[in-house]
Amino acid sequence: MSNFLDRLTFFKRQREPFADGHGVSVDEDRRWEDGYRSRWQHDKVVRSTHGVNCTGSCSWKIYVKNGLVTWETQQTDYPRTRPGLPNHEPRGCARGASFSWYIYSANRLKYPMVRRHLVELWRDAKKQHSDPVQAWASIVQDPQKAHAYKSRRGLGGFVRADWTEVQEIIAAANVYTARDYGPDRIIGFSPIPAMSMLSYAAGTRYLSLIGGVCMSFYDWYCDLPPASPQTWGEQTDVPESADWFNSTFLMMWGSNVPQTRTPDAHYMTEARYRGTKTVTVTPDYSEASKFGDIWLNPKQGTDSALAMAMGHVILKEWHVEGKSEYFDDYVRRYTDLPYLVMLDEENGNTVPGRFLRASDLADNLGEEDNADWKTIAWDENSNSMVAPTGSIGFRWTEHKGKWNLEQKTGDGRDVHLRLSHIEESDEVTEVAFPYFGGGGNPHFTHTSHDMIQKRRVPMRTITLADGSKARVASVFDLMVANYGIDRGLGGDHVASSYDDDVPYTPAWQEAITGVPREKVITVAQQFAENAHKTQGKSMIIIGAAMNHWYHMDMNYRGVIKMLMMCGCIGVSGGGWAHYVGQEKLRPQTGWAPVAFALDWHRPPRHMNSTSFFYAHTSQWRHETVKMEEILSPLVNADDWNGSMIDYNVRAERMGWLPSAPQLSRNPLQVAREAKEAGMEIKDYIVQSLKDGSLQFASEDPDNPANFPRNMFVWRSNLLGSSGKGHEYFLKYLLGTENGLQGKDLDSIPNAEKPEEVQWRDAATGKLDLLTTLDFRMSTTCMYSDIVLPTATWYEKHDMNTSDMHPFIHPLTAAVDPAWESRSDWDIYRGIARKFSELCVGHLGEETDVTTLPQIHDTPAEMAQPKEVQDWKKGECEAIPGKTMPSIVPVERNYPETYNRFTALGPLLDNVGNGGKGISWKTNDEVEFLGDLNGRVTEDVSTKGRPKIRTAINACETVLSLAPETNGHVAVRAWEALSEQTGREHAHLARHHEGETIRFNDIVAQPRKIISSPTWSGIESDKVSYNAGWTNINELIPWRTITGRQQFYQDHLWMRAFGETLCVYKPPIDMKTIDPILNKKGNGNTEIVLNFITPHQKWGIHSTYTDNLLMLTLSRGGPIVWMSETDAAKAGIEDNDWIEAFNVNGAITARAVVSQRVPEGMSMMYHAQEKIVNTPGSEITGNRGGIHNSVTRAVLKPTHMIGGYAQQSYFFNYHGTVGSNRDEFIVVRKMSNIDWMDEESSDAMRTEGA
Amino acid sequence: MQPADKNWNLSSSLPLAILVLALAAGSWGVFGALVTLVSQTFGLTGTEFSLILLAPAAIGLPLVWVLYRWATHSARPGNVLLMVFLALIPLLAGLALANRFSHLLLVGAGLGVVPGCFAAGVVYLHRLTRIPRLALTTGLLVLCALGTTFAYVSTPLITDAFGWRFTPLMSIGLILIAAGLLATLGEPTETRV
Repeated sequence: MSNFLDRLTFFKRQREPFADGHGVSVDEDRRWEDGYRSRWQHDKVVRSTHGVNCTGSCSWKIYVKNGLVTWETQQTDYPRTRPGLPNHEPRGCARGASFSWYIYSANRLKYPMVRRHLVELWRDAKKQHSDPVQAWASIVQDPQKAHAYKSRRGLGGFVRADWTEVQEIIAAANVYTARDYGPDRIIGFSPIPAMSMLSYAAGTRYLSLIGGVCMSFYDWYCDLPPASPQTWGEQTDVPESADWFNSTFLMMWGSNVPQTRTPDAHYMTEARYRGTKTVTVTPDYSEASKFGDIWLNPKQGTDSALAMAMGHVILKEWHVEGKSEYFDDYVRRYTDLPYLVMLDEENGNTVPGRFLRASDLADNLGEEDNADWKTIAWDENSNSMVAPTGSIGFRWTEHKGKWNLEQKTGDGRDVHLRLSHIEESDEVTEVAFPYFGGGGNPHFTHTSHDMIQKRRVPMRTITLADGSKARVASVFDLMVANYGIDRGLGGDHVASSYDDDVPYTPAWQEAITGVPREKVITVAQQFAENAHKTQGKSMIIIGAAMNHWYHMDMNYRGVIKMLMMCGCIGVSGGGWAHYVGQEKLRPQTGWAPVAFALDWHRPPRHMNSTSFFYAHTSQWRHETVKMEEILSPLVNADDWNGSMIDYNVRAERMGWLPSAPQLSRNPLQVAREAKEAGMEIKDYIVQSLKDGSLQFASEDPDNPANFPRNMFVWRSNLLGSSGKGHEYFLKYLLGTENGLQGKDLDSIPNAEKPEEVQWRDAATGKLDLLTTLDFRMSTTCMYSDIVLPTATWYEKHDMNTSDMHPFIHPLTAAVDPAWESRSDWDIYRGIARKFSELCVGHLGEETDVTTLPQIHDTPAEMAQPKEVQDWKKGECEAIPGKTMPSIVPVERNYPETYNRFTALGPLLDNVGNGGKGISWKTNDEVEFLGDLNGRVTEDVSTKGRPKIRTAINACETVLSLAPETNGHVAVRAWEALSEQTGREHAHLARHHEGETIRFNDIVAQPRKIISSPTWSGIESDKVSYNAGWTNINELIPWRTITGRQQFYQDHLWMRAFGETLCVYKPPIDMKTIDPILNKKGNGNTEIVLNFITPHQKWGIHSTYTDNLLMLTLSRGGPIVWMSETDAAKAGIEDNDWIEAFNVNGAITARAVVSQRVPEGMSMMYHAQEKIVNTPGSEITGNRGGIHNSVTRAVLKPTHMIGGYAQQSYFFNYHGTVGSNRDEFIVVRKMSNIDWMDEESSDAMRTEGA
Repeated sequence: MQPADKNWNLSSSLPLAILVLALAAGSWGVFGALVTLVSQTFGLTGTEFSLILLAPAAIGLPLVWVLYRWATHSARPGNVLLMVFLALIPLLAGLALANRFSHLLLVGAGLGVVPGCFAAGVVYLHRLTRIPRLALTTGLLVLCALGTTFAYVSTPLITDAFGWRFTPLMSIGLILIAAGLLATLGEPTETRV
């Protein structure tokens, strides 16, 4: 009572004035503040993280009160690193700390939603058709009905539905599509499994069970650096961030570490405090620039010129002048520099050709098998040519145990490979090298050097197997010539001084990059000297800024060459630290069987998304970049005709790239036809393809039979973030309102149309059903037909890994999914159940036919060893797996889809598991999982199999099957590799053999993984994870043609496009400006700027850019950065509304005018949602677009190469990539800011969303 | 001053009647004070604020006439007073639960019963004490002023300590006590004057 009465203090307050009466302090009851304090109280704390492709994988404490998430803070309980190394904790950034805002925000998707026009059609159809599949058919087969809902995509009009109804629509659409068009017309796009690997796996498991297509992402995002597979036969293997601390010379090249690697940046600053020299290379004064002891600012897109000039210095001073025994020994053992290349005559020039092979020499040089695939070097010990072990021919052979880097021949002789033949050459000849710096994009500086640079190279004359003579040179000698280094051999185009204006000297690059030559020389010398003294501890952190250019492989190879020349790869504290995307799925081999239903069917259908979207969003119909613009001046352009899509079609039919949809008819139907014809399916398809009665779908992408019909998007904002050519997506794939300004080739006079592709009238609205799963109303959701509400990262069980640290981390359900949302696992399980019900009567036990490209890390990567022959042109026989894709029948049982989704299949017992070319048995693990997860007890076909009904079941399955999380499996995996290499590797895991990591273990604390042969680094108490460590220390070959790191790329197409060795190639001319510049004026000055899309401070891709907290900290909507100089030219002031446009489309944004940005360049932070604070465009008349509204994908033929050792396709490993930085935009101040607030004719009905 | 019937009736009924009328006046005061305090919370415009303050008077004037006549013609004017007094309870409960302007307006209009209370109270006290009605009316006006003043002083005290919604609830408690006492100890006064 006293406490009750004590509150009556109104008349007792003491009021004391201060500040001359301007303020008064009072003694009053402040218990109201408890309301604020209780905001930060909690009932429990749960560990989770964010599945957002930022590479962070940070551990977070999620605070829960009364069943609601209240906030989150950084976790601090990471396991210790090594002695002397700073710890990882705390990890996490402001973006992550704002995530819980989403859960209860207005942006949250709370219920399943369907576009009103579609749901009305569906409900009407259901009244007329009791069979849902027939109901769906009645809608999509009626052009008027189909147009009615497709044309409304992106224009609102969603209504709430219930789960039963949306599952029925989706399942009916899938059944209908699989039955009438083929299961490969059902596709799914979800990126970066490492973000939340079971959520990813939920969708791909469903798709793989029904024969749908899983789309790649790493290449499409252009995060995949093609230089990595080209050089190492590895997708991306990089040091953990802790290893930055071990570096003593750290370069940040196009990587804005403090901004985009926030939780890891401390290692960089700690290394600086320890004395590590840092150099930053960025065209703008980025957040990273201030950390550089030296800042180099080359013009954007010219990085390969800078890298080549540095390489020139390093190669000259440290190799040609022989200053470092360490470098010399390193490149001799671990790179292809000693290997011999045949010199060819082409158009009157002597040019570098392909690698010399054992089969070129008499008696195959004594090699028993795979002589076509054993590369040759000169042995100083025997003074003869030898085929050192480790080349790919030693990998895929019956005679195992010689695929290693032991510096021996196959018969056991020790070798010491010769790098240069300058002392013993038979002849010095002029070899022609291509030079591309004289042309290309008009906005970049060109030099007047000859397009063909002839330089003198020492060579040897050898006798081939047929008795003819051939000239060969080592890669080392060719590379020295390519760099233009004078070795006293005479001739033109070589430099004896760094001041000579010869490609690729420091003086030469000055005109192109704008960087003073002195700085280039200094950095190169210090980089190499440090590596020499520390035996390789020079490191380059590199990012998207370098990789998003069309010629990104030149940028990267230039840098990689510096590292390889200095012996930095595979050395802790050194190497190539490429961080673009959270690509490291550490328990990959345990996850793959769950994700792609490999426990039930093999192979799954995988597709490279860049080629897919290029074809099916009809960007190829607008292609104006011609092959002759990128071909080497050394080849006859007439031999290399066709357009980009022609090359892609050739690559698909030769089995280099995958296809989706695959054939021009339903694969289920094709299998039936083969049976009716009494033929083997493979023979029937080969015959049909040869006689033309069957085609690849890619040859006729605008034929309705070849449309992708159903598409799932989950864990992704494809249309709002990564859809290069956004407006093309809207027009062609979705068939709705768009801002595309350009015309297709039909409307351009004298335009050359593709040769290999059927030209038809443009097809629009190809997709019948677009279903998106998300927790927020993203741009992709706005354009979808059905939107399904998913659980957020604090509402589901899952797992997350990163390349930045070695831990495996959980996502944990701190609270139940809010409103009617469900986890991805539960959503797809529900769709699978409904599919199994509805397919009865339409699909039963069916034979499906898949076409499989020549896959990397399988014997199929040895397809055509020396030439490129196209069966369709009659140059060779059509041989599946050799000259065309493999044709693999797959038996599916459609009514069993749900039962198979929820149980572990028998192929893991019968065939086992594996990855990257090795395999091992998994019977013990399957048995264990039966005990752990329980077994199916119902009387169904999967009775007795281990259950994977829940997400936790699935997590346990992954953890049990992966060598990274199960010590028994790790030892078995290393032993499997030992069979190939003939060396004992299991010691790397044997001390962890009894260790197993369960889901509850990682919930308790992130766990460090166990060393596995899936990766080329190790986890130990002594060394940080660094790529290539096992190659150097365990003598495991790189998965390339020579088994070594490749300076040289000898495939015919690499030669044709002038990329055998690294060269400088300026950005290409996309030709998107002239047709629109000053054509649709608004009275303001128009300027032309290069369009760069770096990762941002206020978001991770499009996530967080619609988060109120992040919007409050930034400018509340889309922005474009530009220089003060350019702004002044266009009369633009800071924060003005501007419009950026070209023939691809238009963006509206506010201008950020800053001295940070160099003249001629603009920057729009990647993926700012157009659903926030975006006015209408004066150019298009529609609302302003996203950053990809002004981009378009362009393909590069060298990325299509397949069946050729390291240049063989694998999902997200190799293939075409979606570059976008060669693009230019017109920028002008807006005159009319139209918010387009008037009522739509079809006002959005959200009804509770 | 002579009691109409019995002395004990006067000694209990008179102070209880005064208490009841003081509380009735206080209820009006509570409403006025709270409206002033919470008008910003409700986002009231000046016009809305004025309407709310006018509402009791607008409804109260006709009610005064009706209730005066009813009490005058009633054999038990004390019961009339009690009924009108109890009508304040739902009105104050409504005030405690109000969350929009219309609620406040309704409560304000309902509080027109307060002058009605005084009309019935004048008749009742006149029956008890035989004091001329004019003098009673004057005295009750003073009482009304005291009640509202007390309300204006106590309302911020209670509101500050327990929140504004607690104040009408507390008034309800006092009304229930006073009404109970009046019903049990007060004189029904059947004598027609």
